[in-house]
Amino acid sequence: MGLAAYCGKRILIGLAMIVCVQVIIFLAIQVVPGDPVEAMLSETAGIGPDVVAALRQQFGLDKPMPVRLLNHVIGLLRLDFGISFQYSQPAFDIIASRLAVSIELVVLAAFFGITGGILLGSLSVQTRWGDRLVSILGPVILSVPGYVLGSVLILGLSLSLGWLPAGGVAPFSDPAEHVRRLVLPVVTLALPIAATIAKVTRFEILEVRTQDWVRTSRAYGFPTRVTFRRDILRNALTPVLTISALELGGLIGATVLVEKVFNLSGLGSLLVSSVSVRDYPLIQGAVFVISAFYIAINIISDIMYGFLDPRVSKR
Amino acid sequence: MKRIILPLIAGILVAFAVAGPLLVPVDPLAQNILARFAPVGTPGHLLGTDNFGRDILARIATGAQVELLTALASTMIALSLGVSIGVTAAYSRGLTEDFLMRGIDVMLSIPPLILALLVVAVLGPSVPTLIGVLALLFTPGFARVAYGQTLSVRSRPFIQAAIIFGAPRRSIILGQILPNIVAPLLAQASLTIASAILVGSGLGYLGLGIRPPMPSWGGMVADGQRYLATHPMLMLIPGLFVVSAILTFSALGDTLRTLWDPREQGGR
Repeated sequence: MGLAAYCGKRILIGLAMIVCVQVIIFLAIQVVPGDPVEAMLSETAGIGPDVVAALRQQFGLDKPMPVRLLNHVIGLLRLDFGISFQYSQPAFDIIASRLAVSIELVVLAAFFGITGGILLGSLSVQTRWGDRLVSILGPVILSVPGYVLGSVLILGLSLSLGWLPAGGVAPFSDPAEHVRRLVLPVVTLALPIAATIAKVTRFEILEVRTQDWVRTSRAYGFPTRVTFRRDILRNALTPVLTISALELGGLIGATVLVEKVFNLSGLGSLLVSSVSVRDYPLIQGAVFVISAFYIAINIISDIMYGFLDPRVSKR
Repeated sequence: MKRIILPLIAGILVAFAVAGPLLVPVDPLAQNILARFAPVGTPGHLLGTDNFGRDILARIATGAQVELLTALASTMIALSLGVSIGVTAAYSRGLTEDFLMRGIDVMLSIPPLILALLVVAVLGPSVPTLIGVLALLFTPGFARVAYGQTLSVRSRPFIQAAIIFGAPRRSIILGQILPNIVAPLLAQASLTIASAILVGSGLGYLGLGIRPPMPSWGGMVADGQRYLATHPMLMLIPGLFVVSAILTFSALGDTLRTLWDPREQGGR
């Protein structure tokens, strides 16, 4: 069957890409002069060569490069990223413990951003204020980096007005506080997405509106609402889907910044702190999870595209 | 015409930041413990001073030079690399096309900021690294635009005529194709400068861009955030300049694109 083969092909390409990304990162790290053990010990003076050798052996750095690459790829398949240099714990455990916060942020921001954007885009072609909002405020919001937007929201809504807490995470056992603390980070992430989606939705609606089938539907005397929802919006949403997938990918990058602004201990802040101390097992593990997520989104959007537009999977 | 006002104000602010040191020659690194947290409008410190008593205007101006330099340099590199890849792929077709464009797909399959973080992790933060990373990030965008445009220009009769006349490949690409795809590329370049400022200042905010004490706008926002409750101007001023710079270049890019493709006009 065409569609199943298409899905299978997309998933295989995706898996190959994840492996590609990992090999590239592995090789890039090899290029850097000095190995992680030297980087680790550079701050502590007077360490004997026997200790260095022991540490190298412990992290498996004494073996030749191709063996290490093979070990690395085998480790990935078993979800074993190695031992973190800075925490001396399995990198996988540390990543798993940080994942929940980031996933929650990304999912909520994507949901509110995409639905809000489609709603605003639809309103912008129907009402005057919606038009103003999208065409004047939209470009401005898109020019505000997440870390500036987040800081301004903290300044306005938590420090000046005291409505919402400025950051941190509350446990699930206190649901009200948990949600209160999520509001500002989610708004910071969702606003630029909403602006982009609104812009694209608006453009597509204006395009579709001039098609023959819309005129036919109007001529049949269907109510404007029905024509809009069934004949215009549905057809306008296919390109919106593609843009949404792209935006989700960008969201992962934006989370890194927003986690720092709001002092959230998620995957993004873990990656940043690992980068600054060159904790390679954690970096590789975090990038593995992030690129797998990123590629999965692309595959899902391609497959949905195949469903919505059967011509795609035939190619 | 209303939508021109904001970008115009933003553009003036950016020009002001670049011209700043010519108007007020102050050392951006000079500390003055007695003049910490001077408010905006203090004589001698037009935009006030920060937590070390350093002049904010001087720091904004130095930051602007670094921020704009990295953005412009990386865009130029990305433009030349991307156009070479895109035009070659579209012009040669066949195996070369597959190889080049699939490579571009792989590059696009890594989230931009994550890729930047990784390169900085491997090479360490510095201005040349920053320029290289940003160039790498934006090459695929240019390659895609150049590829698409070349494909559509290639089938036009005057190119076919040049091929039949036996014109050398080089002269067809440089003399016929490039002049016809330059307009959308300029629009893309302007939008890319905006993105480069966005990502570059973001790396600065994370402490992975330009090394302190050299001022960067992102780094200034990060420092300012620590005094948000008492001296919000330390965050707001650099934040305003980042937003202005991005707004200026993205508005310019959008305008160029609208001129090139009037169909887009309805979309904004």
